[in-house]
Amino acid sequence: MSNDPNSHVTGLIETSLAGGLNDQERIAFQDHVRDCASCAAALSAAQEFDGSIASLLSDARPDPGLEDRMVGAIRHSARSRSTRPTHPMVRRAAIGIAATILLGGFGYLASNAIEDGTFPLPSLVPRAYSVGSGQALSAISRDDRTAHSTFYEGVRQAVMGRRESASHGQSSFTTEIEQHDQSSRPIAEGPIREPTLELDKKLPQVSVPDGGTLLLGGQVLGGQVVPQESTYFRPGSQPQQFNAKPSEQDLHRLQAIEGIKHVEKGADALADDIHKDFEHGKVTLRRATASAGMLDASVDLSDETKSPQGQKRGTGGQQSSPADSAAGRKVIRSGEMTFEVDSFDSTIMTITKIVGEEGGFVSTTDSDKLANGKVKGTIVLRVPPGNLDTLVLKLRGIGDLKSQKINAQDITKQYTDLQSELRAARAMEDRLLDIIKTGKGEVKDLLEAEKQLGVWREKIEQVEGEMRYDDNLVSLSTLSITLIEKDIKNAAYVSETEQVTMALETANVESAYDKAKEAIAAAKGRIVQSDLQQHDAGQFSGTIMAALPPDAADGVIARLRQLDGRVANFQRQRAQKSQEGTGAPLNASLAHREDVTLSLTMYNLANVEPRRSVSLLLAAPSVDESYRKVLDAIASAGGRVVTASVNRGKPEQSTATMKFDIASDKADVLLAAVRAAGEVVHSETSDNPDTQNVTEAKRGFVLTIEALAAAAARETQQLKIASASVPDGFNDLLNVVVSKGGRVISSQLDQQDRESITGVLEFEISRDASAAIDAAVNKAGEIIGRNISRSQDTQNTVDSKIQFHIDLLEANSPAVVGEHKSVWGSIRHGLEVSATGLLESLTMIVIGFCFVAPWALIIWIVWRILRKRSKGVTAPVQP
Amino acid sequence: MIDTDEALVRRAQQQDRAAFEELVRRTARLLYAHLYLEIRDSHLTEDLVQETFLQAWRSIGQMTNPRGFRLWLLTVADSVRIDAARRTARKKRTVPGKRGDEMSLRIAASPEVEPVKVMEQNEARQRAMDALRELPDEYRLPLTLRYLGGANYDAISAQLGLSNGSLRGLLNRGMARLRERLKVKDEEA
Repeated sequence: MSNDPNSHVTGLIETSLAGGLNDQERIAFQDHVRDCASCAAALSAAQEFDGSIASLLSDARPDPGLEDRMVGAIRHSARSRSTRPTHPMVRRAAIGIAATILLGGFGYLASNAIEDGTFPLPSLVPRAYSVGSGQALSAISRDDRTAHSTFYEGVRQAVMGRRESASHGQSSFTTEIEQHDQSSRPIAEGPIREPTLELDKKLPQVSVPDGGTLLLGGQVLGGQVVPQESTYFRPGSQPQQFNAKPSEQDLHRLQAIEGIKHVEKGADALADDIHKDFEHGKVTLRRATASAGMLDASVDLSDETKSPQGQKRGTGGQQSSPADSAAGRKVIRSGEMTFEVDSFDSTIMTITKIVGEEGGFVSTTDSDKLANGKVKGTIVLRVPPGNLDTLVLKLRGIGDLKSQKINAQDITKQYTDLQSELRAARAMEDRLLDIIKTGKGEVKDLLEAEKQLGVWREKIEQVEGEMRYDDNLVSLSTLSITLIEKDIKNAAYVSETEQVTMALETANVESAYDKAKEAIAAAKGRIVQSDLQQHDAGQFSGTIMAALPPDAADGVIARLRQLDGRVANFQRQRAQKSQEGTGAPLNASLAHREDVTLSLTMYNLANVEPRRSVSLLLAAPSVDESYRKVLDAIASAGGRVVTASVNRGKPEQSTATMKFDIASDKADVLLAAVRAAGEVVHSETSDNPDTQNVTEAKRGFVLTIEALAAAAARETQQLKIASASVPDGFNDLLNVVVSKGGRVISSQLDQQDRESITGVLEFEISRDASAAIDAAVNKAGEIIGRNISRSQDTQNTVDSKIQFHIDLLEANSPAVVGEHKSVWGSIRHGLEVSATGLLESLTMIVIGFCFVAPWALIIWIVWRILRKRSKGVTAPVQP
Repeated sequence: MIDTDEALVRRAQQQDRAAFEELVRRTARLLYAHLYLEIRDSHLTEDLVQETFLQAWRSIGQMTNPRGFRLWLLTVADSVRIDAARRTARKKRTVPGKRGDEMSLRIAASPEVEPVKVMEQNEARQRAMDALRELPDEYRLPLTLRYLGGANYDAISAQLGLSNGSLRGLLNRGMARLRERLKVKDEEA
């Protein structure tokens, strides 16, 4: 461009297009362009480009007055926002805090209200009343309505039916519908009112001209009508119409609708009349609903007379007349009786006499003589049925009545069948006789007829026989009497058996065994079985089973008891058994005594556990020494050491355990000796259950000896001593402890820090030396703290020594600082309070949130739905 | 030009609304042109310009260099634009082309014009805009003011606060560059 002579002009092209040239320049520019073809071309090209760009971008230009609009907008916003705008974060934070406080406050109020029970939530209101009564109301109304409509329908049908029948009889009666629901009105006025209106509408007033009355009493219970009383009265003028209908009495026992349908049937005969006089009729519907849901209704159709036939039928069929049965009935009466009598024969006589009085006779007699010489027999009496009862009454006196059975069998049907069978057979007989008499037909046929005649005659005979038999049975009742002579009781035979079981603890089983055998032999007893055994560990056992003469048994037992030993177990069983005979044994001395069975067990005590055992824990200064002492004591007392062991370690860790037993009488002496060997830390005496395998003859001991050092001292003293010179005090104390035989557990003298020298001394010492220690402590310095604690007296603590824990401090040492409230304490307390408050308010916020969130959610959802709906209606389809 | 920009800014910083309004008048089209190139929707651009001024009015007190007012204003405009874009992006249901796409509106508004032509014209337009956008700031602003802001020569110099001579040079060179770029783009197309 630089070598272009027109550069000063071409540089102005754009400016000129933009209108940026002043008048002078413009004139000069235009002049030049007019003359210069190249510049003109450049100008036109630039114009074209400028125009095309401008037209392309014309849409982008703002509407005129952009500046004014901007200024206006700023003014407007400045007016609306007079205060200085806050940072959005600040605003958000403020909103958040406000919402939180609001939620918290709301939660607080709500939780208070809930606690007070004043919050009006439906679930918190005692709603049993409203809901309960509501249900009751609905139940009542529903039941009533159902019952009512059911009953109403029934009545309507009845009345309609009556209307039809009434046309035949020109009867006139009134039907009245009324409703009495005063008692139920307070409970459910609305629902019960409703059917009243309906009823009034549909059945205004019905009058029935003939004065017939239908009484319908009933109860409606839960929708079911139970008729209680229904009577239908009918004037005498139209009895035949009424008779044709089913009995009104059936109504009593029918269910609701059924019952009313029967009313309808009953009323059929008179129904036509009602149709005519429907408007004048009057049906009375009495509802005496004492309780909800009960409907008592009666339909009154006035009439005077009642169905005579229906009544008669009601009373008729229940009784059976005696005349009837006497005429046609065939009843067999029979009876059985059992008596216990003193004498069979004399009783027979008496019975015969009584039967004769009653017009009967003795049919059969049958008697047996029993083994015990007594007689048992049966007699059968025949007596006219009418006299049977009297006879039975009279017979009561002959003896002891054991059983009685009178029965009657009605064979009327069977008898009638026989009669008809007989008639048929006779007819057949006649027929066959006719055939034979006329003699027509072939010989073969005649022979056949003869044969048949025989068959039929046989049948006739048979039937007649049966009938006779029945007649006999019916005409005379049969009473069979069983008589038993009273038995004489004979004494029972009694035998007595005796069994003796004996267990003997003895030191010398063998000699006891021999002596027992001797004693048995001397008493002429019989040894059934005997054995003597020697087991391991010097244990013997022997058993003897013997049968002893009854008289000698006591003597043998007495001798056995005197044997050297202790009777550990003794059982003597005696049983009497009666054999044969029926009566009680007359005299116990009559008993036959069988041989006494003796079962004797002998054993020595080597392997038998003592019943009582003592478990001891000794704490001794020297385990070894105590162990030896105890062993000596056992040996001198004659005890038996079962096990003994010493575990020798360091003096304070040695232990010894011993198990021994000794005869009971020497046990206490030994126990005293053992107790003297050390300090008893723990002692326990236990008794085994008193069973067969334990003995009281000896006592067991389980002894454990521990070093005294190993046991904890029951008493502990903690001392803090402010000493002018810690090292001196420490050393003095230590010397005293050692000299008094104390055991130093730990000792520490800390001299690292010259300013605060401390010493810690822990030791155990015998209680006897505590005074010396106290003196030494007082000498060492001033006691600034003392804590004496005694632990519970458990099994492992020792009271004979005291444990000391002594802290020695420099007298001027500031080590002892009271627990004052420090800065940290205050901070902690403050944080604690703050945290509590924070949690509290958080709870409130959560409660508030729980109250608000559902509402917010609902509102949001509704808003969304509305928005969606409105958008769905108005939004145009996207191109 | 009775008052210099600098003086106006200083007064505006003292909460002088009249001075700020004057500044608004002097810079509204500049902002419009600047923003339109990115937004390409006149209504939205106007909203953003307005928002930018409000933002500027709020924070003008914090501005340290009154001379660099225009530059600062452009920075504010950019941040406002970016915020707006973020907001739009956050509204998930915003359908693309619903508001910003003027082409669809134009098609819908002028049914008599054939859509193909509209499309072609639209493409040319986009090319022109892109070419403008690719220009360096100094050339772009006068040109955008001229074509997008609808400002005449005096207005351009007022909006940019430039002297006559420097504006001539910028215009001249800017147009030359624009022409070159458009040629390249047209050929590409």
